[in-house]
Amino acid sequence: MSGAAAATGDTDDKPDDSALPWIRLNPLMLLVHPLRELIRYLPVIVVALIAGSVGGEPWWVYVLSGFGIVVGVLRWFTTSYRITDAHVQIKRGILNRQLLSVPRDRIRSVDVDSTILHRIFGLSVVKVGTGASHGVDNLEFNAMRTDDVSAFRTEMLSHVPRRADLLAEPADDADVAGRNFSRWRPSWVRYAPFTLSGVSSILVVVFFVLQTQFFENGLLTRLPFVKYELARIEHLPTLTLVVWSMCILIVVASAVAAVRYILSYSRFAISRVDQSTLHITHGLLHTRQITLDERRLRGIQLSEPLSLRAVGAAWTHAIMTGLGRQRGGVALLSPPGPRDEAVRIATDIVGVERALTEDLHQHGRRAHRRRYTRAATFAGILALVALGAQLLGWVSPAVWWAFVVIVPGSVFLAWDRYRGLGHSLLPGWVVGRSGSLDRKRFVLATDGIIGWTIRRSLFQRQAGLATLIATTAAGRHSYSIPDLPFDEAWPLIEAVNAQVRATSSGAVTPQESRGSRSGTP
Amino acid sequence: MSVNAGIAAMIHNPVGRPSPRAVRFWTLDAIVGWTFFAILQLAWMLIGNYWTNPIHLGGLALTVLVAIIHVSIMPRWRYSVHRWEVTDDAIFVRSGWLTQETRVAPISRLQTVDSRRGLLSRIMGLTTIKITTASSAGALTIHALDDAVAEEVVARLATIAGQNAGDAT
Repeated sequence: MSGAAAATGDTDDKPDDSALPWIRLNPLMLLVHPLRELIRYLPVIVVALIAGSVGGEPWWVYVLSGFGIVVGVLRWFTTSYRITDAHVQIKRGILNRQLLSVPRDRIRSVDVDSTILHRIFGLSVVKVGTGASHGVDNLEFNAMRTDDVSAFRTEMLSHVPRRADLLAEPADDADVAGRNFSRWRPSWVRYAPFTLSGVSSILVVVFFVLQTQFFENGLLTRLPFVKYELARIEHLPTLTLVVWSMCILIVVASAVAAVRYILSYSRFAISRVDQSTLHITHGLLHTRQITLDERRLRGIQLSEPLSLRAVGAAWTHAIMTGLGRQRGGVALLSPPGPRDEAVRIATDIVGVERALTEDLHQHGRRAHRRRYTRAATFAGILALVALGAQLLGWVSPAVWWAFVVIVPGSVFLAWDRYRGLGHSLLPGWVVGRSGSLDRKRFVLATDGIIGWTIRRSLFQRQAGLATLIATTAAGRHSYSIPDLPFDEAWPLIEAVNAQVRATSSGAVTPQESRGSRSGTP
Repeated sequence: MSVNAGIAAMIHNPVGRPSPRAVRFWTLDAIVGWTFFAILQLAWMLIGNYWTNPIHLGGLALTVLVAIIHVSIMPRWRYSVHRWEVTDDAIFVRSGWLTQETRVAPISRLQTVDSRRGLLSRIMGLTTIKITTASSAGALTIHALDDAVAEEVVARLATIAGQNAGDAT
């Protein structure tokens, strides 16, 4: 409710405010905006040009590109801002004019986000937020000179009260970089092949290869050079073939994953500006800088997918409000790297090491059995599909060999999924963990939970289980604890509520209880 | 009454139920949906002249079978599950049939109250209330209330929400 009120209710300025002129954003955006629009239409343009080379002049592509450029230019001319003593105001919109006005004393965060295009021109996108849940009243300055950002941030956050004993000098960028406490090394790129993006690209390639193996007229086999190669390797022994293709596959997928890793996570740095503000920057092409203050922090998420776990690695995100859901409402705290390091950074931020390392309360016999029932169902469905496909003559009987992998694989997953399943309640935090291939452990602040859902499918009701979902205004907005024994669900909710009531009525405020952390590194 | 006591009372004694007309409403609603789906199938058969194609005929028969089962089971099952209650501290809603959901949100976290009436529910004098919180995953929906009851609930929630300050995040 703060967002709508701030945006509409405070538009009537004080007399001294209205004298201030409106300022335009950096004129270089006259280049960046049209380029961005063109890049956005690029796939359409490419498709049109390819199609156009076959039949007729693609005149509408020129219209589209022209339209993009005009919109880009207009965007600069129609956006202006001013910073008065009391408000930060921004006017924007080509057809729907919009005036956003945020009282300066509500400003809680200044985030910087720049794409490669912005960086070429030495620009940064600056987002000023009030910390409200949906980020609707976030002011976006697209863009200003990167050199000016530091001073701008200091000015925007100057009113934010800081506890005197924790106060640090407003830091310039060099100083902040010097306080980096991440131990990120370029050598961490060795974990890249084990991230889900690496594994999933392997799966995609495997799928295509399988298509050529089992479907005689698969898409790939129609390509001339593939046909030629297939004819050439047909006389090779199958085993050699499989081993070779696996090797090539792994190398290619690893290389792709490594490139992605370097582009997104290079130069990862996390620095503490003062007790309540962290700067996080990373990325080669697209850089992001996030102010993480504890008013926005609602928890931590530790991701340890099976493949990363196998090499002792993990990565963490901060669950925050006001980041917008399109990015999943999370800020990266440590990129895929050694698990100890991920835990160290996370512990430094939530201040409770137990939350990340302690064994969780397991969900018992019935949840255990359900893991295996579901694995069996999965394998059963696959078997039915294989049987059907074979009866229809779509696949060769060799497809049954896949079950040599599928059956033990699903049993292993069921075992691992149960081993990972659990929850616990610590003072101030609810912890939950689930999954195997994509295991996640969340640590959610109890005072950030704004509602509960208990979901029970027909099968869960028969097994006396329930999925407990905590809803929050941050991160993914819902965090679930699957297959909890039903009779433990309400007591857990009540215990959390009791904690929240105790903190909000007692002497200790939630901020302070979470502020007691391990201190600056 | 504390939030805890409120929740405890509601689990053991949930009072609010949908309007008795809800069963008829859900029945009609489901019939409309299935009829629309069947018409689409028939149109496909008409356009392609598939009247004797066994796959198309089988598909149509399957639609009719599933529709009959759904329409005869779902509305009563739903009615037996659905519960709602608004106390001074919390809102409690239970809904669903095959998969059932219970949602609780403290009143202090309530953000907007929205009443909705589609064409069919207007004809039958029913209102559905949607209560949102700061979490996009946390909306509570009270289905198929009598218009008069719904008005009362909305008015009450508005009063309670007015007493709570803060941004409810």
